[in-house]
Amino acid sequence: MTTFGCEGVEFGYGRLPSILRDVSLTVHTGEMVALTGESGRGKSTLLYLLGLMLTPRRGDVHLDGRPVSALSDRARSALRASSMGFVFQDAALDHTRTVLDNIVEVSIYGDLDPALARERAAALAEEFGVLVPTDRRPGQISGGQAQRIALCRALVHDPPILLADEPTGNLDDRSASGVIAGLRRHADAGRIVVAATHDPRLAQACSRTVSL
Amino acid sequence: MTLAQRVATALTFLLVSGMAATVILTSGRTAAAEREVLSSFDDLGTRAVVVRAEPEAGIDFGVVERLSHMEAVEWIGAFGPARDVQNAATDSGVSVAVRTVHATTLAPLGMEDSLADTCYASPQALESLGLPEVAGHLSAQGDPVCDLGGTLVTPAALSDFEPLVLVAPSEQRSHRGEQVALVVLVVTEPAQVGAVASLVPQVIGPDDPSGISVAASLDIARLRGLVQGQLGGFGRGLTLTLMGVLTLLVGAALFGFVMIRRKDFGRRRALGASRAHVVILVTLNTLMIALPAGVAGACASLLVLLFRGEPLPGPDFVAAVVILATASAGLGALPPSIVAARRDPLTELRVP
Repeated sequence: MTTFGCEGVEFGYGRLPSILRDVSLTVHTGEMVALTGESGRGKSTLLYLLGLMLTPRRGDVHLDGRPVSALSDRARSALRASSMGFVFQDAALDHTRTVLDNIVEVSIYGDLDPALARERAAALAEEFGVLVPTDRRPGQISGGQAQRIALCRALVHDPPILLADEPTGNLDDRSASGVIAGLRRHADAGRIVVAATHDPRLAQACSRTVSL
Repeated sequence: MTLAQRVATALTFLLVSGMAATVILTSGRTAAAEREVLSSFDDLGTRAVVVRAEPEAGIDFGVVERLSHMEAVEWIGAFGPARDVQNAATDSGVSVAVRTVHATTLAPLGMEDSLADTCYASPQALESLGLPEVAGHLSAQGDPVCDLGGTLVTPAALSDFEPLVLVAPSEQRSHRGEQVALVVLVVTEPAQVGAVASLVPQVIGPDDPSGISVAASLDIARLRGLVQGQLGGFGRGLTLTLMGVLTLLVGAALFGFVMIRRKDFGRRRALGASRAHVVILVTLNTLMIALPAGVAGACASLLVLLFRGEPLPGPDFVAAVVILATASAGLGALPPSIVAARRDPLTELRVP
């Protein structure tokens, strides 16, 4: 995959006025792009549009020039599972499952071999300094540790596209640096990273900033 | 498993097991009672067609073979005219009627096919003849007729001919020409009694059609059908109503559960779960709880009925209740699962 983005996208919730109008963005492999702007400007909304979880009123999301917004829910879900990784604002871990199961969860929905997923999960957990034993439940852990686990989950299937919604929100400097470094490494490995953020540290680490 | 999941699981289990138990303790008891009532109707001979033949009808024992080709007929017995016999030992003058019999099988009468020229007397006949045990000889005006060989099991259709003694002729073929006074057919299903009764005269082919009369317990058969229809209908209606209530209750319980777990579903959707995935997840989860719950409820209610000494519904009824309870729970899970699948992930995952 070489390009990813959106063209002339407009979106609003229900019958409310559109919060995004005529937004176009193209990201190339190796790029890490920050979406910035004040709260309520639609950064997260654009991220979820790019993640094919929302359907625009106008315009389209494209993958290598191929429009994908209008695909069926099944096809879009399959694309998300195989080609995209997501880092949520508050990690969104499943506290009823072990750390390892959290990391490999995406393999349930995609075609990643479960055994390979577990292997990669263990390696990623070590790489990103996850201190919680992988065979235990996350329990009460710090935001930094949770976000590291979430980053491992987003990367376990080595997705061409990584979308991150305020990945460093509420993190201390050290934790934030770890996450930013992980995102940067992924982009440098020939992938695409798009992050919605208020964090100037993250914005600075990006190739480009798009302000909404 | 979170507390919410445990509560939802326990609640679903209780609802399904409770409903299965309720259905068995209500409709199940009706079904068990229906079985007993219908069984007693059958015992009363609701399936019998009785043909009385005068001598001019010219019917012989060959009629059994002709009637045996009819469908829906379970047993055929042909009986000769009655002759009076007495206890040869006492010659007391007390007479009972003896008839020759030729049947598709003598076993239902308690007679052995191999014991020809041996009389079988009903308990009532034995008492009338002054024979406390099944031993002795019977004679007609001093002439020996037969030796007593066993106790007769009088079929319901012949209860009017008590006290009764029957003897199977020694050479069936040679007695084919012997006159038949009575033919009893037992039909496989009460509902077919009328049809068989109407066909019998044609199959018998009497020399003089006016010489035969056909009687069938159509009224009892009709009453049987009425009881079956009414009791069965009541049971079905009640079961469906209860299952409908179960569907609503499970749906309501799961709505709450789905609302509590909405962030979980949002995460799954964002990671690549399709809407179908989420629907299947919630529904399958519910079915996996509902099936053992249905079995548990059924077992508990059967134990209660056993303890109270009440009749039990049949295994097919119990299995149907378990399956229906499971299916109702699954159906109840569908709307909340669809709601969970259609929740906007951004709304669930966004931190304000």
